[in-house]
Amino acid sequence: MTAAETGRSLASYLGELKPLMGAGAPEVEATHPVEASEVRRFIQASMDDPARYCDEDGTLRFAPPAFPMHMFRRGLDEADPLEAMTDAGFDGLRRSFRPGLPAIDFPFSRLLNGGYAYSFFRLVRIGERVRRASSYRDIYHREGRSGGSLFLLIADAYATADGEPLLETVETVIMR
Amino acid sequence: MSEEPQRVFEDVSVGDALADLVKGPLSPAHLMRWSSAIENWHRIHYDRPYAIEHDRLPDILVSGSWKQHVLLQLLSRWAGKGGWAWQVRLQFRAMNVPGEVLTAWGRVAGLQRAGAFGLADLEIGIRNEAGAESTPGSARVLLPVRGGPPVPRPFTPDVVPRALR
Repeated sequence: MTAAETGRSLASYLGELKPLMGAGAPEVEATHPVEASEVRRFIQASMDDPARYCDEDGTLRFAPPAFPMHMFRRGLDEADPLEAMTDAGFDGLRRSFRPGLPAIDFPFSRLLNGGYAYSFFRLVRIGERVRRASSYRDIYHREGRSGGSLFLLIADAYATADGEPLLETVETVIMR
Repeated sequence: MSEEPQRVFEDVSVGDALADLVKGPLSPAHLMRWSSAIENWHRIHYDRPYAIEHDRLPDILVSGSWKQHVLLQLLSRWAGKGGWAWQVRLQFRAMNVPGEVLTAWGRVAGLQRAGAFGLADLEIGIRNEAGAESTPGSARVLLPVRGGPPVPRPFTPDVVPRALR
């Protein structure tokens, strides 16, 4: 059942979700270190210039600046999200935004990526491990041409396992 | 693709345009390759019947996460190895679909000296060949000054005067 089908107003959901803002999740470490072939695929798929991340002899040493955002993959012991693809209406997305953050109990029918704000500190090196600390920053309601939406801001800080900052992001998630 | 010569703060003027970064025309294979590389299984990026019939979209969509990396490429290229793209903001305002040619663009909106470096405020975005903007944003890039050191890596905001952070 979608939010529209519940008959509840977005304001009533907002009242329940607002107290969750500021909640943080325990720091998590990516399932594996930065792998050269994973970075190669990433550079090729984003159609980037590999020379930017190689040393003078052409060996890949670094990953692109926002690569750590995509390092938090499914672990070998985690359920396969594609099992739900037999449901023709399943959109392919997990409902938990970050492991350890409180669930957002809002029956959205569509989820949109609204954008990002970033601060970058350094590129991650091949072989390094990456950790992420996440928290809910804010949630608010806006009316648009296609109806009302909830805007959820999620803050993430990425650092190496030694605690060296890599980047900080604030993601805007739009739920309808 | 090759790096541009290192740009220094004194050679930049407000209103300067960054060299465009053009990608495309994009095909469903490009979109599928990106979804696979980052393991994003959101159906709207590769399942055309789902995108059109279930989500009422015009087609499968170019991923916002792919577009963000294109803008970061634009900024990294402009900053060069001696500069640093420090802060970036962007919004995904409009959809892009296969068949489009996307152009990442930028323009210098402001310049100020920031300690031992120069700080450039940029307007950025991504337009399709019809000129429709999909990803407006802004960025702050540190550049070396002529004869000065490169921006240190790791970058620490401490090198920027507090009033400018």
